Amino acid sequence: MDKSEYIRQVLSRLPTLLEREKRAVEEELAAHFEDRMEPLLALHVSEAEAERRCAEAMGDPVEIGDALAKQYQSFFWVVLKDILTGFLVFFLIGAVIRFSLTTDFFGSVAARVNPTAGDREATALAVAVDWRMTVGNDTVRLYEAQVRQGVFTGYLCVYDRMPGGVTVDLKKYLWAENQRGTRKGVSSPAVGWNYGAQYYKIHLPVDPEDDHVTLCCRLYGEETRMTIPLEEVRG
Amino acid sequence: MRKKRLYTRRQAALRRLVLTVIVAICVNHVCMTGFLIPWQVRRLQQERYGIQNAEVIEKLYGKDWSAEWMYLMAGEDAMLLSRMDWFPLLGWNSNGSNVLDCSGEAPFHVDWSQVGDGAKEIIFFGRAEKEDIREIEFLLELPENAEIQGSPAWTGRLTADQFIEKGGKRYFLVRMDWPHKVWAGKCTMTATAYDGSGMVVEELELNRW
Repeated sequence: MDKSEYIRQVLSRLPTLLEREKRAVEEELAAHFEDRMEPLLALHVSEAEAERRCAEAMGDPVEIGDALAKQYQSFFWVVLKDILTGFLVFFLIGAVIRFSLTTDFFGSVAARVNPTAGDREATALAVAVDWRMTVGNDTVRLYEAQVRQGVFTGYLCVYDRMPGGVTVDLKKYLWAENQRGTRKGVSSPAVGWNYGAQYYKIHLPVDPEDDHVTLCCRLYGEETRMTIPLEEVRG
Repeated sequence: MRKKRLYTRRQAALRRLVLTVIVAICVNHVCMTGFLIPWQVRRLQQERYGIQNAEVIEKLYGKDWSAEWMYLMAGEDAMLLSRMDWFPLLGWNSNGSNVLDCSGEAPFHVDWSQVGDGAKEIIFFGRAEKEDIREIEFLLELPENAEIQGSPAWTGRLTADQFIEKGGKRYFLVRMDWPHKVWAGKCTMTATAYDGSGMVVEELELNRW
């Protein structure tokens, strides 16, 4: 029996197979034949003889076909795979159409590893700092600050505690206050706004004897405060 | 010849399932699209407005499949009206939300949104904090130069039987027809709460857009 006859006999036991499954079985059997024939051909055995010996070694094609048929009885898995393929295409189309929204994801990552990359307004005179407070599911991070000519300037970013998560726009809810109770709200610097990270800056007058300012956030009745010592950031 | 592994139908389907789940998580999380169930959009909106673990109080379904669905959600000190619709290639999409801060001491909190093709409906939502509120009246007055037919003033009324009681609090979500079918953002809007004897409990001016 040659290779093609052997494969034909196996496939004849698999009437319920779909065309693509038949091709896969055919390729699999052909690959087995080639693997077994290779050493025989290297010993200068003729191709027809090599195929015959391989067919013998591989066993009864009817038995193999029947064993394979048991693996291909249920159409449930075929239908499930086709449905899942539909979903896969749906997700990939969505990813292409909304590719621009990946900026939110990368914005969220950048805010936690290198916030100055997202904020083009921070000056070279500002001192790199790292003070953080938690507001709900978000982290408010003061990453650069300076005190010059009696004004404290702070650069803030906000990101979700989960990388890639979305943040709340805290502009209305964040403010800083000095030791005499003077309050100033934050403003948004001119950086690309996205849901992954928010950037703000704050200007607050301070006196030379002030040793700290307080950053505050009040969101839906819950107030969070963080004390920022000025010693490190005085010019 | 390199052998390709022959997968059974079950194995092939399970492999596709794993691949689909991984792609779904990436697309949902990185591109924020491909949401298959409204719950995912609600979660996203809750994160975006900082109202975690808000409970769904009421839903308003669109009049047809393409129309907006609305979910009224409430946390302890804030409410969120989340609007969404289905787009075949993208799944459920957020159509924006209205957030209402309920942390103050006001007897009731209220906000509004305008929906429907041609701006023909106005949604009012909020929470009555004081027990004795039995009725809320909404008054909308268009500017005098508005190009409309009929009276520039419009009133809508909400009675206590329309309140939704949940967790010991009284919420409301009502959809009212807006006859002028113009953008109501420039209207002067007031909401007045009355008690059982018809006395005014509180009058609030609503946000303009």
